[in-house]
Amino acid sequence: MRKVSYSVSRLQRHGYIFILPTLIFFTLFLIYPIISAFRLSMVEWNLLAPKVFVGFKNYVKMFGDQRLLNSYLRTLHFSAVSVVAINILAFVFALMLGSRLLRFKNFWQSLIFLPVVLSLVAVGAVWEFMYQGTGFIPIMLRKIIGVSPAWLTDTRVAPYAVIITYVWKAVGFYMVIYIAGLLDVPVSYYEAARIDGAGFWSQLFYITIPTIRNTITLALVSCIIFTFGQFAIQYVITQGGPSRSTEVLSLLIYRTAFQLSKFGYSAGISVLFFLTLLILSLIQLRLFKSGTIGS
Amino acid sequence: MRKVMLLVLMLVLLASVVWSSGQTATEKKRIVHFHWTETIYDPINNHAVEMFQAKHPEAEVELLLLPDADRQNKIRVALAAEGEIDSFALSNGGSAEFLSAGQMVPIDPKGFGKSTVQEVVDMWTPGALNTCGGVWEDKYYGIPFELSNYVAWINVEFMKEAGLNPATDKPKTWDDFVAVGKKLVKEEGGSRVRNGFMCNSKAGAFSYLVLLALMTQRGLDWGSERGLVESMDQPRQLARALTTYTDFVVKDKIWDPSLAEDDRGGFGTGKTGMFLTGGTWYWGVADHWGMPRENINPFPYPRYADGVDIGGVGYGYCLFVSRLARDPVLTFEWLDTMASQPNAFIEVGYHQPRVTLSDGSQALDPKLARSSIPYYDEVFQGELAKTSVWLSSTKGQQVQDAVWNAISSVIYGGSSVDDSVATLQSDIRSIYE
Repeated sequence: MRKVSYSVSRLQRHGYIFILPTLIFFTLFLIYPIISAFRLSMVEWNLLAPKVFVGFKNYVKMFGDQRLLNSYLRTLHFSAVSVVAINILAFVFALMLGSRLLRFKNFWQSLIFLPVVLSLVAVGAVWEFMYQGTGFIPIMLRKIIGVSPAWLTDTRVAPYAVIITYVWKAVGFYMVIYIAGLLDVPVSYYEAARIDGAGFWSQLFYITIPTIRNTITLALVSCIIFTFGQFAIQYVITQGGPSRSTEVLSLLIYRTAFQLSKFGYSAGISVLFFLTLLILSLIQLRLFKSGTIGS
Repeated sequence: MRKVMLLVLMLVLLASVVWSSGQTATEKKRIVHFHWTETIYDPINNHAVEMFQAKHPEAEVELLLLPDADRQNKIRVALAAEGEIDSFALSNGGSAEFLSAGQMVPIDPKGFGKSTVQEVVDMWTPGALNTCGGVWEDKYYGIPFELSNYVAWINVEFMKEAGLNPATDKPKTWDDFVAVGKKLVKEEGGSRVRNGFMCNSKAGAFSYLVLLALMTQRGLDWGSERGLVESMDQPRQLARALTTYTDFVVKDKIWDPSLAEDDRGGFGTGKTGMFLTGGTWYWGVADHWGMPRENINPFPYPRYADGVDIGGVGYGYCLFVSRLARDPVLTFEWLDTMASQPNAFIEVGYHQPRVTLSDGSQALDPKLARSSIPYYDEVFQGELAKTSVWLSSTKGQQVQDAVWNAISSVIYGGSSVDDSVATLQSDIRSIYE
């Protein structure tokens, strides 16, 4: 039989060719736009008149921009509350669906997951109607407790209206992540714990949570990243109002570009946004180190 | 490696064959026009395409009917990308930015079969090109496509229900407006089911235009950049106008913004007794909502007892030929055709200020206008001479955003009027520094 000569460098060359389409795709649609955004942040441009190079002036302007600060704080508030609510609810649902006492598990699981597959815009439009003065939510609240807040026109309440909608939409996705994590916990751990007299809470805090630590980290950090970049739910329900109380960063970026025609400044804000998410992603990589093939 | 190179070469050849087979010889001259979509007007605009193509078999018009909120940005992006955009429609509030950047071509009289630009201008009512935003630095660019003015609207059925006489009790002053508004408010089971007045609670443009009229009535020139900046030195007048408007929500409570978002739809569905952002075209919209015409009346904007006799904002739309037009003269011919159906439009309430067509025949029939537009002479035409001027500025959107921030911080954020005025002064000055 003829021996086939094998060379590592030949294998590597073939490997590069195989990943070339993906590399081209990411270069064109990820790397190039990021570089372009950074270049655009150095100019003043409304798409109509010629670009005017201003260097780092846009970044200097950001430091005194109260509207940007407001958006940052609104985004942090939205993300913090949503992430905590989503993860607690998702974990509780996952535990409930893992319980032997619950019947029709597939039905409940599907019901909780259903909002995930719905269009975010459609969800926002329907919830907006439900929040209006004569909508379902205020009517039910007045019937049950006699009062209802002005969900979409009170600056203290509107952020929570958006959060409730977003949590309802997203919780099913993270529930599935937690279910997968819980399935990985060996049943023998619980059996041993029961023999030793451990109750539900002890099992939860000493077995379940430590064992699915990586799952919790994954869910938390990815939730933070996705939530931080939210745009559609605020745009559809409140358009950043009332009085900019729900104007998150992504909405400010959009508005600065496409309503105020300040594409350079908008690009600058998006670079800042990118750096924030980059830091969050690095935190994720640090906390959740993934293995590489052959390592 | 040789096999891989051969494979890549074959793929490139295949791609070029596919691409070239998709190219057909361009026989027709293409005209791509960006316009807004409105259910009642789209058939009329499509008919203009048919008429033009019948007259010019060598031409093909692609009429892009876009949602109004997206149109201006789509035009902007198409121009920036040097895409296919031969002509487009813009309002007088939005055209200045485009005109100042040289994105449009001055009117070519050859497109209308005329020798001079003045002959073209004379086909429209005097001053129409100016009001509709078609003039820049004394040159004519735009073909007027709509000219109207905001008036106040009231539901007379609700008036009668509230014990008011539609013939005599329509508000003449802002104090009357509040008094009538309070009577038109309706609550059921502790919930507001009808506002006395409402404006769009999310899109700031509409509140901006109402406040613009109020500011003009207080003697402030909000129709020019210089006048706007100078008006920031008059905080008392600014506060007076802002207070009038924000008190509809805060003090008088004739407007609960949580009831509904859209005033035009809200008026058409009975959620408000009055609104302030409708022109002649609203008759067509009311028909669309199924609101009987006899149930609603337009009336002149209320005035201040001690203010200037000025009504709602005058506005218009123009059609422009883009600097990227492949055949500007042919494109002006297309715009001429598009603006040649004023009688079809007036029947659905849409007023076009065209006097004569290019062939010299009558354009808009005044008798048809009067029969199609209830209160045409006594309200719309009467107020057209006293409209407040919509600011034509390259920074118009930023001004609008700043004004809406001032309004919404009072009605939603609980801010005081004085604080809002201070913020507005700071914002406007920094926009124009």
